[in-house]
Amino acid sequence: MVMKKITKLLMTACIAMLFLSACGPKEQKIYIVSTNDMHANIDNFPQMAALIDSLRIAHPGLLVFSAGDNRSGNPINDRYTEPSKPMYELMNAVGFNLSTFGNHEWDGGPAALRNALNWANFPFVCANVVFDDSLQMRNVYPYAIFNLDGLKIGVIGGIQLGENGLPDFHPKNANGSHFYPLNKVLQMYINELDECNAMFLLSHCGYEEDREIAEQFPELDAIFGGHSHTQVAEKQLVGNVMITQAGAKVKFVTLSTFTFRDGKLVDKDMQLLSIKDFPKRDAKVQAMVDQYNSNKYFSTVVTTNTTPVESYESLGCLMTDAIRYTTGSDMGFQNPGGVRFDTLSVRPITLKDIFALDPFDNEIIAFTLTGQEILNLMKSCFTTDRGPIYCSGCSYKYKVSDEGELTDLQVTLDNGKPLDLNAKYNIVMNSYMSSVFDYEHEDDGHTTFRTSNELMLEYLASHPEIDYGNTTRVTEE
Amino acid sequence: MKAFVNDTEVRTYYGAKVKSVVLAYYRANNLPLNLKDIEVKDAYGNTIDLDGSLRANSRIYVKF
Repeated sequence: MVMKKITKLLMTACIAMLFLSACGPKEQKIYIVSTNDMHANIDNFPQMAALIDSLRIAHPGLLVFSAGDNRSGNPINDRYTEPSKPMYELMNAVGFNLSTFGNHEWDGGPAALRNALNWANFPFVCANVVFDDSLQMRNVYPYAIFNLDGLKIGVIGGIQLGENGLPDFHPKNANGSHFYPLNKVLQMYINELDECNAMFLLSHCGYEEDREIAEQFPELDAIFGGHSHTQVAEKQLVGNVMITQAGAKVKFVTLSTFTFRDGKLVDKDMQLLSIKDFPKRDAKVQAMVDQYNSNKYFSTVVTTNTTPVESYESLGCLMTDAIRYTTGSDMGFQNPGGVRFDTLSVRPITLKDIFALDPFDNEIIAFTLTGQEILNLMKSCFTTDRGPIYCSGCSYKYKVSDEGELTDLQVTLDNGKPLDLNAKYNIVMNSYMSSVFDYEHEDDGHTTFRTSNELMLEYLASHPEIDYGNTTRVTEE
Repeated sequence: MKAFVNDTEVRTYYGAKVKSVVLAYYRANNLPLNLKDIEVKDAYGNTIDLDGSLRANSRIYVKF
């Protein structure tokens, strides 16, 4: 009898609990790992994979996003037989669910981008780009919707545009890609996602622009950002929009947590997690990385040297010729410190040689300078200990007094005429020179969005043999 | 383009990364061109990478 009563009481209690549970607020959490600007730093992938796996065990249904610039920064990936394939195979292995485009996704041109989209096992979102049908870009959408345990999560993608209306890449790579200001199209997609339980922006616009977007579009719940390589270490809200960004180069990921009560987003939080501090490495991903790094790619012959080189200047001439000819400029300049060896025997030249000659691989900057300003540039080198700069498109003679003062400098153009101090010339130099050489000039210059090694390899592609052993363009009298 | 380092105006090329702006600041102030062990923050106190992209008129702060 007593047992019957107890059983009845227990059953009543259970039914009451079930009823209360069904009637009480239902709390759900979703977890998103986001990173950005990985720039093909594949060496950190084994730790990132292990970290994300551990998070996935703790939080099944975890989503993993990239806010763009997956490539560009590591020749092992960028100059792989099929450029960028290593990155996408690794991102697939880690289990990325979504990416937006960074400006560097266009660095290999439309064909390379199309290949990347085909290799990725996940979609790309970008609301402010439209591709010509002829490019056959697949796997790209303005936004994606994830259904997680009954919650609809909308994620819109977006990319920054520079003053020329294009993302920061070489304009020739834009062929067939049409860009629109993100703030002009965002509202339309926000309206389309109105019924979602949460709405996010996966942004490659940079932190400052993300803040402006957050002010303009308070309907967004969070922005997972990229482009400015900003480490957002603590929760930051603009209005009620949470903005995150995880530095760059696979050093960090952001773990964002969103709490819903009865389908309504009631709380959001984030943590910046260090990848290098994570104690485990994923063995499968490590094996993939090891295989990519052991690629014989660096042994690829790119030209053959036909005369022995024994001076920095000769190789400086090669470097300046490369940036000058490939950019169609009148002159090219190179700082001596950027030429990293001075001896080259008669032999095939490999990619390894090229990257050793110029490990900095700086962007090349274009200027329009008067002859006088070019003279100012050349003379500025004598006021420091940098030494005379190397050049293409001209040669020069200089005199230095016993006290080390420059007393004369005469520049002759390749056509045999002297430099016209009043004429304007299109010239190129690397971004280091552009930043640190102090000389009087008007034009601030602009990036060509191309790097020195990229231009060198383009130059050598049409020069199966090089002969710089006896080349000299700078003479001290 | 124009940017500000430690609230000092710096002029550099359009499309400059953080590193180039910092180097231009060093040059303008006759500081040693040393990028090792420096910390760069944006106007909101976030650490930024030397390869990060900057917009014109951005303000960054360098700690030596």
